[in-house]
Amino acid sequence: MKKRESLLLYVLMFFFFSWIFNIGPSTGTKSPMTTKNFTLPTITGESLAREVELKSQQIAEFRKLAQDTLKSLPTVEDVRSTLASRGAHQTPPIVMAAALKMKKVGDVLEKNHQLLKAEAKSFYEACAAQGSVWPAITQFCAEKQREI
Amino acid sequence: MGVSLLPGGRMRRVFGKKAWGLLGMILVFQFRAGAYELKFSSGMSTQQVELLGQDQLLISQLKSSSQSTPQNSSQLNPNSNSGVSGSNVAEATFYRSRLAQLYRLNFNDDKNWNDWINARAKIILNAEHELSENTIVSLDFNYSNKILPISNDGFLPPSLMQEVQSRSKAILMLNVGAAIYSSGKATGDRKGLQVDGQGLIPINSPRVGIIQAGDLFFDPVKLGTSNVASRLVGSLFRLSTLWHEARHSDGREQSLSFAHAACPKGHPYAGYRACDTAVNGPYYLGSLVLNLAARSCTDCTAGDRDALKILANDVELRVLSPFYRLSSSASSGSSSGDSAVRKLCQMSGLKLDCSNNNREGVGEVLWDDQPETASWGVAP
Repeated sequence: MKKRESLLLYVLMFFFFSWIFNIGPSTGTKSPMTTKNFTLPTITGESLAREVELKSQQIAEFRKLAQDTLKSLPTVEDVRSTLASRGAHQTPPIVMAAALKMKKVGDVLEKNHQLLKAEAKSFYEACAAQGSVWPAITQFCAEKQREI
Repeated sequence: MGVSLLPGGRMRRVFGKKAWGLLGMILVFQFRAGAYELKFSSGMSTQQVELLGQDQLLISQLKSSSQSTPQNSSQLNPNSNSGVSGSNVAEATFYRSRLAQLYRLNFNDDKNWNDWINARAKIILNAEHELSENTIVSLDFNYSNKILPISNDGFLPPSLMQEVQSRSKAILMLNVGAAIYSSGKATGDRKGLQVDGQGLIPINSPRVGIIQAGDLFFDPVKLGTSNVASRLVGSLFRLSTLWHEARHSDGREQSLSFAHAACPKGHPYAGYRACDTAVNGPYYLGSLVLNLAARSCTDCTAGDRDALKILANDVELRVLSPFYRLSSSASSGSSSGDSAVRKLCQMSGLKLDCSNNNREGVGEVLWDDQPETASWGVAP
């Protein structure tokens, strides 16, 4: 009887330690516990979420840059008001400043063209439609919109 | 201070070890790709001379990709992507062919562009250089050929001289040699200009090549191109401006100095003499240089190219030919198919008449670009 009890105890201890150290019989399949502790799906979800968040942030930043740029583009009146003092012989500095703002947009777009493509298209479309904006800029926007 | 950068590497004036080093680098480049043979008035600073040297290196950016040497200027823009796409290559070919066709200018040929610029731009004056009766002197009289250009607003060369004197400090660059020549011709009074550090320069031809830089030209802060990211655009813009001014050294009689026309009513620059009647004038040359840079520049970022295209558009919209005929006579249009016309008509801000469909038979307005040589009469 004592032998039986001892054997039973050993068997129980075997299962107990197997459970503790996670070393089940080598059946080729994972125990439910192992599957439960396998954390890859949870991590992928987080990284995906982070990626989505990052992309949303990049889109939001580009949108902000585009909106600010759009608001700052000089109108025909703006440019002409600078001509009295500087003359019109060469490109006025206000147009140069606008070109450099558009450069910033172009550089950001180039770094992440696929992600920002749709936003950029809307931006250049809106810019091209600004009838009061200096024509050298709206013309560029129209071409860029077609290009995208 | 007078500095001359000659192909042989001769430097007439020394202004310190630092300048020696940089100018040495420029001179080394001269052996490879040629160089401006510019002289400078004594008011030009070392930095201004260096800046012109740096700009000149960017001519390598106008060459076709197989010939360009981007390493010469890559330090100007570390973020460049060197991405010259297939469509850019095709468009660059178009701009190169226009430069060859209208200006006999080829940036792939070092000798060609060297000879071109050196025949037209010879002395650079600083913005503060005096242009008055103290420096502009009469040499002799009786000019036998008195045919002069008359601007479309009735503007005559003598008024141009007044404008030069009042405006020269407030602009980017001005070909004062051509302006003084035209003014002198109008009054039958051959002139000479006393250039600080260079002595009296007789103004015998519009090809005398005296160009004054305005306060903006050498001031990247005022121009808005002082930070590293915008330096390349600033340099290419200055480069195109110098080549624009060089074109004013061409032309004779009615086309003398390729004087600008008054922009017509409805044009963004209406009321200013900031347009060209001819398609082979200074504005189209400037736009071609900028457009070519936007397509062929291997050191440029995508944003640089965008900025250059906008600057090119601003210059190109001033080219009235063949659009000028279309809007002024309203009887005919252009069959040239030039993109300049299409662009002008597409620009939403313009209120010009683009509705004329009869575009047969009228080509581009080309002016005689042979330079005028002085044929002075006998002095009284």
